[in-house]
Amino acid sequence: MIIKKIELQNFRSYYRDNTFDLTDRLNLIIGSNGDGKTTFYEAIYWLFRTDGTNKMDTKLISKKRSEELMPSESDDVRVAMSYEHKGKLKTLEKSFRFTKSFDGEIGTSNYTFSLVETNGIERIVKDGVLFDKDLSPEMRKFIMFKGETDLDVLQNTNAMKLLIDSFSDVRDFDAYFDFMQYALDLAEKARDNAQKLDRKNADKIKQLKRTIEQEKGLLSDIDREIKDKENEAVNFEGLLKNIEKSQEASKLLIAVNRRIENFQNKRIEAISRIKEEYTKYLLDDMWILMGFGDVADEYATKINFLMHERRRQENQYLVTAGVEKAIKAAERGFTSLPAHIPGQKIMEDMLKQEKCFFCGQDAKKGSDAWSFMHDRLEEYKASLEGNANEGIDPYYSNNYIDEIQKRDTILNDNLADITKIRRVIKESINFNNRLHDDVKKIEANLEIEFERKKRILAQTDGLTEEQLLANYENISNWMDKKNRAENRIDMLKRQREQHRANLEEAQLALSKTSEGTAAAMYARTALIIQQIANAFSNAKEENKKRLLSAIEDKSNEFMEKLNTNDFKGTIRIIEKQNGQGEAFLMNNDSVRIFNPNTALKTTYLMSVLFAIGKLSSERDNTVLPLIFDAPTSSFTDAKENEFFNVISKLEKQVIIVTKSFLRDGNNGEVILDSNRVNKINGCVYQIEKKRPFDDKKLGTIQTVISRIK
Amino acid sequence: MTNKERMLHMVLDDKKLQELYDYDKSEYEDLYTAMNSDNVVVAAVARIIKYLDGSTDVGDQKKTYMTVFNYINDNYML
Repeated sequence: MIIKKIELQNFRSYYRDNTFDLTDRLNLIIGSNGDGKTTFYEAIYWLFRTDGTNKMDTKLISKKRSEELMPSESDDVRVAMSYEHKGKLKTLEKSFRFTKSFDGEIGTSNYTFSLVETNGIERIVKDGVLFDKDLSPEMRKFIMFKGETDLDVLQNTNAMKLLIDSFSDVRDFDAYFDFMQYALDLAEKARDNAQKLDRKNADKIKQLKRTIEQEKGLLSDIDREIKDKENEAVNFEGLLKNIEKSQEASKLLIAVNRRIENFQNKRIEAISRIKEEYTKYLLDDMWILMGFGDVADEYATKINFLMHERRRQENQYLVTAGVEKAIKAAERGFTSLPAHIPGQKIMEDMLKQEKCFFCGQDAKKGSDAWSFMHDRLEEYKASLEGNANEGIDPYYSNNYIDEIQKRDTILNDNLADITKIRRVIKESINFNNRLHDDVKKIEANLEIEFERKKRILAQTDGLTEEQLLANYENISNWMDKKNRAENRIDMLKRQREQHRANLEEAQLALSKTSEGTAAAMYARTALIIQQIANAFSNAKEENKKRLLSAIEDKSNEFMEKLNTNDFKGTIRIIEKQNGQGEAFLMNNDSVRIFNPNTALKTTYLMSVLFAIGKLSSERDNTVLPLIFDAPTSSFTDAKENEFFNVISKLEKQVIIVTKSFLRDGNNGEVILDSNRVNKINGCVYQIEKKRPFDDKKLGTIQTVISRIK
Repeated sequence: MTNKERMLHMVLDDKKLQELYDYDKSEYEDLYTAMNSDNVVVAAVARIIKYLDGSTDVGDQKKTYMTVFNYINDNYML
């Protein structure tokens, strides 16, 4: 079938008459969103309906045309397709009339659906439903595709049967297979009747028949179990397929959950290590003394000043008193430290270590410095025993200031411990701050993981977290069950071969038993019919295998062309239950590729469609056009160019409505990419909304068509 | 090549049938030659294909069966 022309009249946005003249190769109908692409596709779909549904739907009427009609005025909605089929020119035409009433309502009438066959000057008009003979409703599923999701035609119920009936080397095998069963039943009955007269071999015949019945029963059981197991395997495969899309999401979710759990544990651990009971430590660990250093400094400053003043006054007093000792002391020009400074213990340490702790210089034993320190120590010890300035009344009769000074020395001795406390406090606070920083980092990571989790869940078609996790759990379980079912099928098939051999042997023996008797001919005939039935059965299977293999080979040839610079894999086609089939991709290690990207999936499914089309034309069956609505939405520009190039070289009629080949112009308008269009070898139409139009008023929308090449 | 001829070739291609009834499938290009074969099984297969003619009608099945059954009975030499 080659579509020559499509005519649309007042069909939705196609106002009045519009004609598309098509070639027998690639035909592109290019339009932007809302320009009438899908309407074109749906017009053909409406025309192809032979089931009498959706005949005169007012939604199909051009709003623009219906609004401009005057009361009682009429026009037609009409879609027609002229095509060539098996050397004959035909036109399939569907139309109805619409009339505007005086109250402005639109009524419909005069539905016609006809198939006009033109033979020279003769014109034969037939009922449109006869179009089914040229293109059956089932076969339409193999030629019309909306979007990329429709392409998996093998999934349709009975798709494989239809393929086998339509495109295999030999058709009608089913009828012959049924007949052979019928013939075999009758032949065996005839044999059994004849053998009843054979008294001599009655026991042997009985025994062989029992064996035959047993083997048949076993074979029947095996066949049933094979069928059950095949169903089981298909079911598990279906389940696996259903969750294959979510498999990746499940894996990601598990990884994210693991990270979240890990971070939460780390967070709990970090928080548990933070010890900020500072109030308790303030008293228990004497942190209250942290400010002691400053207090001690202030105390020392003040007491030094006081001491200095006292010594100055005392010296002044001694000078005044004329005491020689005091004069000498006063002549030294500086106020010496009191005898208890720096304290007995420190002095003894300095002497022992032969070092001045104040200036840091060495003071070797016997040196002036060492002797000085030694004298100071002795002076201090003497001061403890009595007043060195005997004979002179002390200027201060009490030693209160000295006592206070001694306290300062003790306080300074304690400062080392206080410094330790200060270090502990600092380390403790730093440690807690570091932990707080860690917690903040962990919480930031947690936030990121929660966001990732949200994104994963948002991309899983409404599956809940529990369902995703359950799916993951199920995968290995279902995979095991599927593998077990398949292994069992293999074993059963081996058993079946054995039992078939046993059955054949018993049937042959039964036939031979009657040799030399009146039943011999009947037994032999039944055996021959049995053997011919087996040959038909094997031929039917072989026929199917050859078809699948041929489709696979052709599909892979197209895949090679359509996917030149990309990963291809190998297309495999298998038969499933309910007459369904399945096309899928295999890696070179014979492992099935479960999640091909959309472009790859579209490419291999299209390869299968092209292969089917190619086979049909090669085998002199119906040549079928392919009609696609937006089949390349997931393709990149480069891939799309490659794709259309290959399609334009196919010896096949392909009609594609698409918004490819359009690009944004300088002023934001959508324009045709002429460079790309020129590279296409085929017929190109552009469809656009007629301008100006009112974007709020459907009645102003009209699709205008122009042939580009 | 017609559908019936393709079917004939595919059935006669059966290895077991060839072994049992010793025929050369390449000798039977068309249905007519197969119908007139001396080999009873080849001729029976050709008759099944020709007379059933892809029908699922019980009457056609019965007629075809009788033709084939009688043909084998009449011609097969034990």
